[in-house]
Amino acid sequence: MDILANPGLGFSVAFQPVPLLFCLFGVSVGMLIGVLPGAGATVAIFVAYGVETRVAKDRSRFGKGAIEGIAAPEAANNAAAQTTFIPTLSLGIPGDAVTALILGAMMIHGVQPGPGFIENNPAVFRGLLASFWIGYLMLLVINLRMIGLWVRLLAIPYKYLYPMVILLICVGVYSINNNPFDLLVVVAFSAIGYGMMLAGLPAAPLILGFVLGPMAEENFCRAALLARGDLKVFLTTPISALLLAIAAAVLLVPLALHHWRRGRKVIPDAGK
Amino acid sequence: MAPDEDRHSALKNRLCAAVLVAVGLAITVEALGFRLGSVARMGPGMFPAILGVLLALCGAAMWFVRDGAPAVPVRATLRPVLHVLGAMLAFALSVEPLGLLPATAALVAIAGLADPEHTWRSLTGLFVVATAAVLVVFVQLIGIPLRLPVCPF
Repeated sequence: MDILANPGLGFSVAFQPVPLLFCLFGVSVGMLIGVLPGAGATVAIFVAYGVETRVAKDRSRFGKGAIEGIAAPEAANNAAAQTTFIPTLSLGIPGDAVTALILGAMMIHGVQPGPGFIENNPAVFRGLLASFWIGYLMLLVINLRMIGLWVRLLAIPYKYLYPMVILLICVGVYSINNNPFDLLVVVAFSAIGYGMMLAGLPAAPLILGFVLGPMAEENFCRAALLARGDLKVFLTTPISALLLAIAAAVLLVPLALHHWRRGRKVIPDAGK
Repeated sequence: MAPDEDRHSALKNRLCAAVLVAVGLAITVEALGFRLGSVARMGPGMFPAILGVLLALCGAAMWFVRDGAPAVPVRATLRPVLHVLGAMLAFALSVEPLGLLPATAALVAIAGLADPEHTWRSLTGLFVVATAAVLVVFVQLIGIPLRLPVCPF
């Protein structure tokens, strides 16, 4: 029985001590990264892979199917995909573009994320958890049966794939409102997106801004109103001050490190 | 990094910074058209104005400070971009007066011609497959009422 033997082989490899260790490591990294607002599964994959390549004794095997290189980032990806819902649901701050979309969809349906989310919407929350389980079960079944099909799908020449993708985008957008103007918006934003790609500007902050903007405005105005126009309140309230400090550190520390490193590199040259 | 590449990425950085400053200033000017109000009672223009100024400041900072990440060179290729945008534009303009099938044909033809490997035969095949896919997925399975006719009368 092929269909049972293949997973059997997979599990027997995955449950050896070393891959299991790397899985656990990936899960911890993924969980920690996923909780951070604004850093989703993609970041977790790269962090796990980066740490992995530094820890590994034999680096030459990476990129050639080393099990550590697959296990840890993949575990981190799955862990982060779940924990990214923590800031999304409790603070209303989406972890990445995908949770930003989910957040947007929930707000359209009148489900307000926040500290009281679980008490106020027990059905939605439990349903979400159940959907994780169902999703993974379906993934298992779909991938065991159809992995060959997915591989063959990748072999479709790009020249046939891209007109289909464009067509599905157009029909999909048009079918929402039956309004051609929506398509013109898509054209305009495609041009803007291409320009951003040329300039090296990532799209995720733009999407985060779109989702978070209205919430930020409303709460910023409310806070200023409650403080009677005294903006020092953002520095004197501990939680707000801490978050502002973290934001400043995220912005400034890499710059400072970069300059420090460049400075050290320049000095030996100057001594010659 | 080669000096030429370095100059290129520096130029790109400056260009990015200029665009951010321009967008920030445009937002600020637009926001000033609304009532600003006071800090305690903010008008509708206050928050956008603050954001616009912040964006412009970030852009200005980018002009002087460059991150050390090596710029990934993306070659601007005009022809495929124009074809892709043109294909979507053609679909947008033709789907209402003509219906779904002519719009699909226009989209496939214009988008397909971006790739010189395509022939009219391969494009026809693609059109048939694409139409079938759209009909099955959107019309049959999801049940979206799309107007199909080939001719408007």
